[in-house]
Amino acid sequence: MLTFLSRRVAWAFFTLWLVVSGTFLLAYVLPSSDPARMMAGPHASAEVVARIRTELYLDRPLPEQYVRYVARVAHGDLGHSYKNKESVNAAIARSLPWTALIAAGASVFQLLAGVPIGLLAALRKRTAVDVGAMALALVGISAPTFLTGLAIMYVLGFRLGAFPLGGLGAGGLGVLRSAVMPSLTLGIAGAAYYSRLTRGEFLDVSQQDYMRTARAKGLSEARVVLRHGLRNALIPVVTFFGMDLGVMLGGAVVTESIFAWPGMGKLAIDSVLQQDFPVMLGTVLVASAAIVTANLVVDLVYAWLDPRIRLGG
Amino acid sequence: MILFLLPLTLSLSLACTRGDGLAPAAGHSTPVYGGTFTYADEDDIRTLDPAVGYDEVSWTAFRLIFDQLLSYDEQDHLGPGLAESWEVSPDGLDWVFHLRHDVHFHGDGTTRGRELVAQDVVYSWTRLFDPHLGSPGADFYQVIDGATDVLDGTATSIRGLQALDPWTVTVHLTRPDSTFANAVAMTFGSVVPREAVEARGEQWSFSPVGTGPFSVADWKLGEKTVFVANRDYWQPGLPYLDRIVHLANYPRPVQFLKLEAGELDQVNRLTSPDYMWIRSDPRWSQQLSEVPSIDTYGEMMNVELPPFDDVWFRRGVAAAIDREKLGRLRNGRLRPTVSWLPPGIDGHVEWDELSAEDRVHYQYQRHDVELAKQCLDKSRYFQDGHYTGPPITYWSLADEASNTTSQSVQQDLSLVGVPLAIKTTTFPTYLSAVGRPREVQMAYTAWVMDYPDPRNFLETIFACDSRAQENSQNTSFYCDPETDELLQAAAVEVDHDRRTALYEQAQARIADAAPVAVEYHSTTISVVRPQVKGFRVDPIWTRDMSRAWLDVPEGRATPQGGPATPKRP
Repeated sequence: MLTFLSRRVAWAFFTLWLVVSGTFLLAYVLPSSDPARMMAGPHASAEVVARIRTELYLDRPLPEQYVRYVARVAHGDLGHSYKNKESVNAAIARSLPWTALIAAGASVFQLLAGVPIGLLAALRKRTAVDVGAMALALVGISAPTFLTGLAIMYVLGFRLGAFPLGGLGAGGLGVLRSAVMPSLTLGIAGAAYYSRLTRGEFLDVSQQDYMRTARAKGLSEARVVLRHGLRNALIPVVTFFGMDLGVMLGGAVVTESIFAWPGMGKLAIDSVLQQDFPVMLGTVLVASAAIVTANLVVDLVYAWLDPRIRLGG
Repeated sequence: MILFLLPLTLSLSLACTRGDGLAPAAGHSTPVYGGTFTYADEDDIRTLDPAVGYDEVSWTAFRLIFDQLLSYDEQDHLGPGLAESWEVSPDGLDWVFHLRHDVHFHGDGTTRGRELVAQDVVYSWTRLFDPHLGSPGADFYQVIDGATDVLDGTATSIRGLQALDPWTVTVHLTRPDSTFANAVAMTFGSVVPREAVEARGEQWSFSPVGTGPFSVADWKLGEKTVFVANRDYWQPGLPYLDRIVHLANYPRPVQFLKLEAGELDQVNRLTSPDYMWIRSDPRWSQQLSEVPSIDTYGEMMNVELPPFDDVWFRRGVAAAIDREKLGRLRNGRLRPTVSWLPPGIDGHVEWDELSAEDRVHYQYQRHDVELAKQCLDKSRYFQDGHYTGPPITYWSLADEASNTTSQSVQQDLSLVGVPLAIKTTTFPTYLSAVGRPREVQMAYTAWVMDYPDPRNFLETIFACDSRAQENSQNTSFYCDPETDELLQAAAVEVDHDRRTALYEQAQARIADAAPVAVEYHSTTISVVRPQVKGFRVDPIWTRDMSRAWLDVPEGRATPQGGPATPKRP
């Protein structure tokens, strides 16, 4: 187990290093643009721009810039924003909790809506309930986020007035209320996917011998479905759940943009559009760290659930 | 992607019912004190350091927090600000500013802030040349004698900038500059207290101190900024509002929903469908105002790159573009023009008012397909009516307006036989590419004024000296010795009429040489709630809330139900 664990952790760090280096190269080598120019504003003189470039070490050779960057990151310092000189650590520290909040909300919604709907569809296989639920799931998976987001905002926020129209609410309860619509928007595609996954898995599982055995033992139908059927059907759902959470922690660009939600996605997309490289590199690093960690955790849970994976690892 | 949203917003808007965005005004004839004014932008404020900020979201905030020695009145004429009066020597080199007494910096809530003195002006302007600050404002002040030495690091003070006594600032320029007063009125000229800048260090740009009608109570990055009234403001009776809240990062459709719901007091960026809907709604249309912006849009053509190195080709392209169609595509929100200098700026011309003689120079800057074909036939890139030049790539941006314009231009040019490939890019990439010589053949271009003067529109964009190897402002790389002579003569001319005549001549030469196809001036749309009074859409500040008040029933001004802050005795 220890060898397995250390190998996986080593791979995780290697992946992170690849991501950081790749993003660094992309940011500094490929684009034809000039961050010093962006900082100086559209009307600044060439001298002002040149001075900023020197201060940011942008006039140094690329390997030197790279070594400087990696050394700083290794010390936990992600640098300062070109845009407003805010420390990137601080920018991420203020954004990540809000993204985590709606990611958590979305995850709960995915599970609470997706799994029961999938189970219901499987139990009522080939009835109107099944067809209706799966049609709804198809819409949920296919509809683009900016459409579902605006629709949710219009109906729940504007027409019903149940939730504030974007932004972060004040106070604990206000924050929770304002997180509801972004969480729904973020979770709707996942919920749809989980309902399909649960349905498919449950139908597979229900063909298994142990299900027949359970029924033959005289167990109640509820017990058969929940204890023996659903528990086994949920294993792949757990896998996806972990990975989805990792992805969502990296920021939900579209959802956060629609709801003016001050999270990682908004920070990331703004940094890309404004070529604010330190923030861009920082958000990519955190997003990939979240995904890598989630993968690692899923791997470990899987290995714990199924020893064959550990041996084959 | 955004375009796809629009029909949805339209239908959403049509069906809306909720909200008290249309709550009627109470009908007070004099301003009511108190209340909170809330507005939103698609972006956050970039910085609250007036020496650094150079974008409209930040400038709107600067209007609230800071004052300059001179300021613009409601007709955009320069007048007194922190300086009660000022004098200029006959040679235009020496300026004396007499400061207002009893102006105080923002206090900390319990104690009154320190009084502003001339030394603060000297410090604030010298700070623009701090080599470590990288202030884009330095450009506007480097005409002060000795300023560039500070930038170069060979001096720490500017010899041409002195505090004669606590209430008098003297400035000596290296050459006469007809636009120095405009520079003084820019946000870069805001007066700030040295001790606060130094004490706050990195935090300064997040929580600055000024003398303006509001101070910054809180800035939550990426979320909102709260400004509170400065009840010690030097302009008697102002401000009326208790608080102003700026919400960051709200998309346009959502801003409009919030306005309807009564959660925003004013909106000035509308999607096309929302704009059309507001125009057609009898209640909301009364709340709409359309204010001409002082800007010009067009297409730049790089005179160093084929096929635009041929003046006849440029003229043909300029004449092929249908400006009226562009206006229609944007719901009539644009004002087609032949004049690079916009209305409100000396030297602006209207086609209908031009003499036949002057029209010769401007004829290529209006839609005339026959003329376009004749010009193109005269160019060396056309043979027997067919384009024989190199492929043309047109650089454009990804937003709604740019997409519409680029496709319309592409269609217009194809009608006269000029093929155009559109390349869409992000703003930073666009900016750095067009700023380098021999890189971009043709691109969208625009100029929004820094200050209302023809020099800012012509010299910045078309002077030979404005060309650079990097970050060139002169993106067409146009350089004409005769135009340059006119621009240089105008820059030092103190007589208003002679100066305007020089700029008119320069503009006519530029229109004729067509390094830019001049297209239109834009309009700022503003929708306010009926209860909002004294709010101004401003060509310089975008929004001016310094005199705004809320016409609500007595005792309702503060949303928490508490009493409004009493008027300062």
